[in-house]
Amino acid sequence: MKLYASIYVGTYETVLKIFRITSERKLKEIDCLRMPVELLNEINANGKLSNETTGRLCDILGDMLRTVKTYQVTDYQAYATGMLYRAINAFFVLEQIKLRTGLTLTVRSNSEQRFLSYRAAASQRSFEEMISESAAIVDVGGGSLQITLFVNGKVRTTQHLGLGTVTIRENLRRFSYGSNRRYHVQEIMYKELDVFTTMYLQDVKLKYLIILGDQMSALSHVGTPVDSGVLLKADRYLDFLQKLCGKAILELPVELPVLQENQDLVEPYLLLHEAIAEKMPSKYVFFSGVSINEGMAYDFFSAKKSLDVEHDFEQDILSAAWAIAKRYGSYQPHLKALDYISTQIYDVMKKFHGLGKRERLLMRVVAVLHDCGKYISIAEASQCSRTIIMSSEILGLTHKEREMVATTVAMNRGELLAYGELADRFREEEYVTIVKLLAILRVANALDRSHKQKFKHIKIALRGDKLNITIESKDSIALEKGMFEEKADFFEQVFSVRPVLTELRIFE
Amino acid sequence: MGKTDKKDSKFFDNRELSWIKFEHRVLNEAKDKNTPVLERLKFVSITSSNLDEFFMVRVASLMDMEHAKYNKKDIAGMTPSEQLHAIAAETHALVREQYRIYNKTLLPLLRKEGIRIIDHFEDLNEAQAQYVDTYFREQVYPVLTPMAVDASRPFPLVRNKTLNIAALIRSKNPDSKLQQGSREDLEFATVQVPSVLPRLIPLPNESGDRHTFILLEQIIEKNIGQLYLNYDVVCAYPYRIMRNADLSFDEDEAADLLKEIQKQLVKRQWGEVIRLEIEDKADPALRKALSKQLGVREESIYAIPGPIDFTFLMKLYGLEGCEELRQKPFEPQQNPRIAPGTDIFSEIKKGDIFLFHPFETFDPVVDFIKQAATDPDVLAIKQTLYRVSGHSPIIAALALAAENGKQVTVLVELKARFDEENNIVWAQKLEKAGCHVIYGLVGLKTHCKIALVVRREGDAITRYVHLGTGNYNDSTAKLYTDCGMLTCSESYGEDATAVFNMLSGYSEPAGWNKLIVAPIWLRDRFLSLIRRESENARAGKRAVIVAKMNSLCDKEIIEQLYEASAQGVEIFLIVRGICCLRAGIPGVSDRIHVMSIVGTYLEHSRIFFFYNNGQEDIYMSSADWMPRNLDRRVEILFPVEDEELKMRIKHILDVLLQDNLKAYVMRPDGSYVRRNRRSSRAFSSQQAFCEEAVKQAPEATEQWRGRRFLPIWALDEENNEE
Repeated sequence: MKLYASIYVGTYETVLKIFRITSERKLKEIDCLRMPVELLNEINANGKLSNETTGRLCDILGDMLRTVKTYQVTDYQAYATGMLYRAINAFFVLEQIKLRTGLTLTVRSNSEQRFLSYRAAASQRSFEEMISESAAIVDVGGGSLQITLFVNGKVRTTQHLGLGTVTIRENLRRFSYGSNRRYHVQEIMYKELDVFTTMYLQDVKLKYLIILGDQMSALSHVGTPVDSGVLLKADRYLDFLQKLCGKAILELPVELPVLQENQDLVEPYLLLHEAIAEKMPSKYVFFSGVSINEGMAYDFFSAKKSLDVEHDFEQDILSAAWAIAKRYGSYQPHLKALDYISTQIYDVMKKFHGLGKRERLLMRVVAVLHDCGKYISIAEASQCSRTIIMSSEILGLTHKEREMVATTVAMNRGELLAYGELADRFREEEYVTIVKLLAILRVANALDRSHKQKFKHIKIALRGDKLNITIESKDSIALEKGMFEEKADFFEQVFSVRPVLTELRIFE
Repeated sequence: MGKTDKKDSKFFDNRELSWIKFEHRVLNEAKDKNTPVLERLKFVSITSSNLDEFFMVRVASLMDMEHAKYNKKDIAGMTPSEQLHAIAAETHALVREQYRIYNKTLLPLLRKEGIRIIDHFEDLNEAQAQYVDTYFREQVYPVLTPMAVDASRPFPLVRNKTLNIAALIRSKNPDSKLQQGSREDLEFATVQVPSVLPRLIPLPNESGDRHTFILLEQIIEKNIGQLYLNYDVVCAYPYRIMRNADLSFDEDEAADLLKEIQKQLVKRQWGEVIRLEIEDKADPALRKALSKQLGVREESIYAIPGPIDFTFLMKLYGLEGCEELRQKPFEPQQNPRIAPGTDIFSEIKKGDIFLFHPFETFDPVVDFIKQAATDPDVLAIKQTLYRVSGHSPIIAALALAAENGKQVTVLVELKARFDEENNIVWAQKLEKAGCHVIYGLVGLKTHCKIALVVRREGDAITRYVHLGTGNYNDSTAKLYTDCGMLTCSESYGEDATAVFNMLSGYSEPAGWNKLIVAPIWLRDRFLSLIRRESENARAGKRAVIVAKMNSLCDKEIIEQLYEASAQGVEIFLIVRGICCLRAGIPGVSDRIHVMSIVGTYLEHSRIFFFYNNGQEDIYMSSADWMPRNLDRRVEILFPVEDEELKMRIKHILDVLLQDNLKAYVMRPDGSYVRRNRRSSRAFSSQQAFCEEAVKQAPEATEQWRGRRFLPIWALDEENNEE
């Protein structure tokens, strides 16, 4: 039976959803268990999770697992918020959960977890149309806020802001004795959002504000089927929020059944959404009604080919990489050339590197981002590139993948680090992948050393243990040739294939 | 008439007084000459046990309020003290009526049928007297515990609702030094009439009699001398007390609800005495001694001209070999779509199924669970249980399902009043069988009646849902009129799943498809449904509300109904019991008609019809229009959407509204009168439903099609009480 269960342990609630694929190849929720469990406030206050909370989590997860088994679901996954790692006893908590319930809970980094929620929204019918103009996807969590901006169908940026319902609640409490507590908190939110809007929204007129999660749609009493969502005029939405925010706290919960058990989160939740709606004005607001649980299901079923995927998530990753490169003033013709050459080599070398489609994507991201660090320091470009990549989220890449990209880029101009020096971060096979990508990057980079794209045509072919690279060029490629041999040595070391450069000079 | 303030308390009836009016209507059934005599006895018995519960719950809580100096006025503008006085006056009248009917009408009728109840041992003949004495020595004496009261022996605990015999006794040895100083030499003694022995003891018949009985307390009275051998018994009379039994406990502090309730059950024996019943001929000194010791106020003392506690009449009702004295029992008929052995799941797949008890059997509901228990494709069964019968086949089926490896989740409501003991036993039994038993939400009684069967069918999950207006109790399903619906519609299934998740303590779903659930959403929905009719009426469209329920006492709803009436909505209310709304008050409720049907079966279904400008909305529910249902319980209101079912329910409302035999109508002063039949023939809705159920062949569902919904209503009727 095509059933799948996703469990997500978030910062303030734990949710189980069970899905099935309908005969029309659509995702349908068949059960949902939702229980408030506050993790973040304990972690923030004590740096760890108490035994009581761990026990409660075990009870709830055990019960959820029982429900999963009731439906005889065999495919299920359980993820937890990345915030969990802020607790010093995170590993013991995970181990206890495993021993007491039999459930393996995997902690997901922020970008991975955000990607999953985004993936759910992107699987909805109207998504392509919305992003084709301009849309900001807003994902409000307990500890933070993720904003992903699409312009003309391409990801412009995805930013992680330190504004979450739980953190705002803490702020509200901090100011609880002041008469202007809401005002202070709004100040904090506005400032943070202003930074985002000045950097990314100056030249953009937002058409859609896409709200992830199912709370807001419930608040406004519009049902949101998993695969569609609901569109509203933005002014109506703002009206609705302002009306609610104008109420005293005690009046709120009755109107808000979904958050009833997290009553003290209602106020921060509304204030934050109000601030977003004000600071990021749009024409329409779209309640997606989906969150990470749906995203996990989409991820699972599309991998199984039970669901058709319309949206090109790889393109998102590339657009995001390009957006970063542009932001840091990288020389684009060079990047384009490099992207082209490295993928050519990658494809020809398939038999010798044995890597797949996903690594090809990594190769392209590596090519696009390999010298973004020059923006900070030309001398330290590689290290700076690494820093930029590690601090920029690329929606769709896992944390590990992003680290692989960053490490490849960092070694572009330095020494190759031995596995021992990276063993704390990568498994051996990951290390080997990094080295393979690096070898291709170096050769490709050498071919456009002058950044002048002197080649008119480039032909790459494999002949026995030689990789013949034939280039037609109008200009002298002496510089490229000079740099080439050293890179070719390294390439040969890795693949036992020697790149050979042949020049075809054209005179027009 | 200017604009009337519809919130004025003069437009509302006090709920307790309204309840007493209902008891009078039940008692009227005992006066119906067309009803066989044993049936009539049953109605007396019912009013007696109802009155007991009324005292223990309602009067008790009013007394609590009075003690706490809580003076908030009720819906009718009465303080607790005012209500208590009014209740006392009305209950005294009700009790007088009970005994008048019993003594003046029913006893002679029984006599005529050769059934004799000897109320005074003095009336026994010699053979009978001898029999009684032997019975006393062998059966009664060993279980008696007489207790005397004096300076060294305090007044004993007289247990709640037990029958006792009080006696004044005088020592046979007046010169004894030990007895000196005692007031007038009289002492007080009491003995409990053992509840382990039957109240009615059959005696040898005199010639011509078919059955002769004596009451147990008379046997004891006759032999009371033997209990106090060193004393002379001056006088002895039976009495009974009722204590404050309202269970009030702090749920938030009860770590384990089950234990807490068990503790409370023990406590129920104690508590303030709120009613004392004593034989009317009792010696004033004895009566004074008793009332003083028990601390009963004068208005709470009931002088009873006959046997105390009529619940024994229920036993008489079941008397063997007197079939002609009872109404011929109606055999609940098969549901036309579910013959025994039908695969219920595939039948539900063909379309929603309507169930109408007790005219149709309860078997489909039991079979629904039974078949689920053994069906290999069933994954899970979830059900709420509020009041279940002894030897409930549903409990057995649930246990079997758990043993067969199904995931069985049962919500057992431990807070069902007076059923706690029973429910705890079932809860434990189910737990042992492997069911996942949950005990509901803190602070909320789970009153909704819903059962969910989750079944795997190929690649899909299908959910079958039963929703009902009455409890999952196969015994009461033969006596209460209730409706139910079986469906496998996806939207109902999703909602049912969400209901059980909610009852298990998880958060509510983001939205509901069909079900409207109290305490959060139900009140608002009802109000908006009524409001919608008002708006339609105001816009000059036809607007009708027909609502059938057990009780109506929610102020907000009533005000909304008054408003609707003022706007021109025609409102027909079929309210069996309490109704705080006043019908037909000019300028307030001109268009509201209230009727009450009291018949062989207890009217229990809750049906709500809203005309909705022709897009008729029909709902059924477990909830009455009472604050406790709307605000403090988990209840479900569910729409009926299948056209055939809607037609059927409209027909049912239609028939109910035409009842002119068992129906009463409320007059503007709040009193109830039987409907004036004028020249039309007598028509009983319950009787009609019985006949329809018999006639209903499997293909006969067609007959509901095209029925027009036209209530016939006779106003300004005369009181034609017989």
